[in-house]
Amino acid sequence: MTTAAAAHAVPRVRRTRRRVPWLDRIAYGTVVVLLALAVLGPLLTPHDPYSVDLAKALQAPSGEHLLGTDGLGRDVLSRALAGARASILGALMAVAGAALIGILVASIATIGGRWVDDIVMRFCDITLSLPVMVMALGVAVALGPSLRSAVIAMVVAWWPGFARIARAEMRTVITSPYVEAARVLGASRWRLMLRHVLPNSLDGVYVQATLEIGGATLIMAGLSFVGAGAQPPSAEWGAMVETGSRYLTSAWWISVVPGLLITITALAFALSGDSLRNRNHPDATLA
Amino acid sequence: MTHPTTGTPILEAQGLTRSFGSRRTTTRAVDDVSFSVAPGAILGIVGESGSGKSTTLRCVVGLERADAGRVLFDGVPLVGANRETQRRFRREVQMVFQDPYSSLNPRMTVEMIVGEGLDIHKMAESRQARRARVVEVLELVGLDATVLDRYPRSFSGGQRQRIAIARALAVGPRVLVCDEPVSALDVSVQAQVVNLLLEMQQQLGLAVVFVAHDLALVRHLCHDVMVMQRGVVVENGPCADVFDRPQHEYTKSLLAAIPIPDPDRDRARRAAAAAERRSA
Ligand SMILES: Nc1ncnc2c1ncn2[C@@H]1O[C@H](COP(=O)(O)OP(=O)(O)OP(=O)(O)O)[C@@H](O)[C@H]1O
Ligand SMILES: [Mg+2]
Repeated sequence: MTTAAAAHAVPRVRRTRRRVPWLDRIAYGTVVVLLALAVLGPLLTPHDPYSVDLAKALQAPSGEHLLGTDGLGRDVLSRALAGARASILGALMAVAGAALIGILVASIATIGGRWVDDIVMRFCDITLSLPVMVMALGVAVALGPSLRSAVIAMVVAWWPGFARIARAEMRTVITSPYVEAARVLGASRWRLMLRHVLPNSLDGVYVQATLEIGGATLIMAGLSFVGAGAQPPSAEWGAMVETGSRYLTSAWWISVVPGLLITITALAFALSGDSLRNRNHPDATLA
Repeated sequence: MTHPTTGTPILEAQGLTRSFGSRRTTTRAVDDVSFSVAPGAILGIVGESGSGKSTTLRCVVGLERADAGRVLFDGVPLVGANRETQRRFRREVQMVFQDPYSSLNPRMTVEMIVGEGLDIHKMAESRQARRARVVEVLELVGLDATVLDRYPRSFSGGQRQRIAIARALAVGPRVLVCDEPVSALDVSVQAQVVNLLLEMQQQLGLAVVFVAHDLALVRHLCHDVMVMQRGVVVENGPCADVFDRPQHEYTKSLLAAIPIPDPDRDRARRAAAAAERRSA
């Protein structure tokens, strides 16, 4: 009996101390670099990302312009660095905003009783049945194309997903014995929500948010690419891919550089989110 | 000791009924259950799995809404009682849950967990007073101030149940409702936790409602016992009567299932326990 119990205890300890796989480490590292770029990128530009010099247009990568120049002679590296802020922070803000609204709505549904819950969640289901891109495109166009519209559009399209995840977790947490213990003590609904339910229901939302930042980068770029997001001449990766697409056969670097950055960003956040989700296995209790 | 059930009951249930399921397939988990507990008395509730013991307790403490019946606290029906009475009920009737692994919020420290009731009922004037009271209760249950800042995951099952008991005692209850408080624990610590509960009951003069599977434990611990089967109370009375002269077939079958490792020792122990109860 005792040996069986001991054998059972050992893997649990190991699991919590499990080493992080190398792919996950690369993903985390890339995310850190990207976040640093989002903050510092515009300060690191070797050239002015907006200075037009037609005499230098469409130059291939060289010592002077490490990643070449675009159709207006602007330095691609500088524009890519400057664009990091709009592209990454835009996606981050969109996801953070959507997660925040989702959590808020889920909390209201949880506290509000059956009617409120049914109405709110039905609304989320309907919104979720529309493709995010279509929805975001509609909102962005309606608001007038700009980076800000793109961010708002994504918040509008994305919060119901977060609301549903948060609501599902809250539904289980609110029936857990520690919440019942607080109810027996006479805790108010607000206390139950703020002290017990919310702190224990957000793991899934955090993981989902990390996963979605990757997708958000793609949608942001997509919105800019089709002209519903950041407008020329502003440096934003999606818009850069679009302007470069005209020269894809003669000057590939104009599109490929921001395109690669978008891909790397999407992958790094998606892999990090996935890794977080796996580490967040119910067995591993978090403080 | 005079049998404590002779006072006015501090907690009383009258005709509690609770059904589950859809319109077609309803099961009466609790069917017309009544009982009362006097201050300082221990009432045991026994019955097979699914007989409605937990649901009865949950109706009493308000975690479950009863379809019919009512709960009286200090002689006053809770439904329609004024705010003050309800608040007093929330403070003076506390519960210890079965599984201490899920009954403690994993993101709260021991100080927050044990002190929560003090906040809810505004029982601490200051942070220091609150902490002092938390430490006082922790010491009562055999822990100390060193655990204040630790999280539940770093404790064993027995320690967690002590923390859960401390949480219940912190607000100064007069009734403790326990739903199989040791059945989720290691056999080696069950006795310790039972003894702790008994000690607290005697020291603080608590009335206790104690649900258990272990009939031997109930006989050892309780003044009265209520036997439930499929939601119905089949037998009810002082422990000695019910255990020694069971009237109902179901009770007899339950008693027959008690393992008696050594009949002679068991009989001796029972006699000693009875003598102790009479003289104490
Ligand atoms: N929330 C619920 N929904 C549906 N049925 C329920 C619910 N809670 C309890 N029941 C049913 O009510 C009956 C009584 O359950 P209860 O948990 O009160 O039994 P118990 O005596 O505590 O059993 P155990 O000894 O296993 O803890 C069971 O048939 C159970 O399936
Ligand atoms: Mg039960």
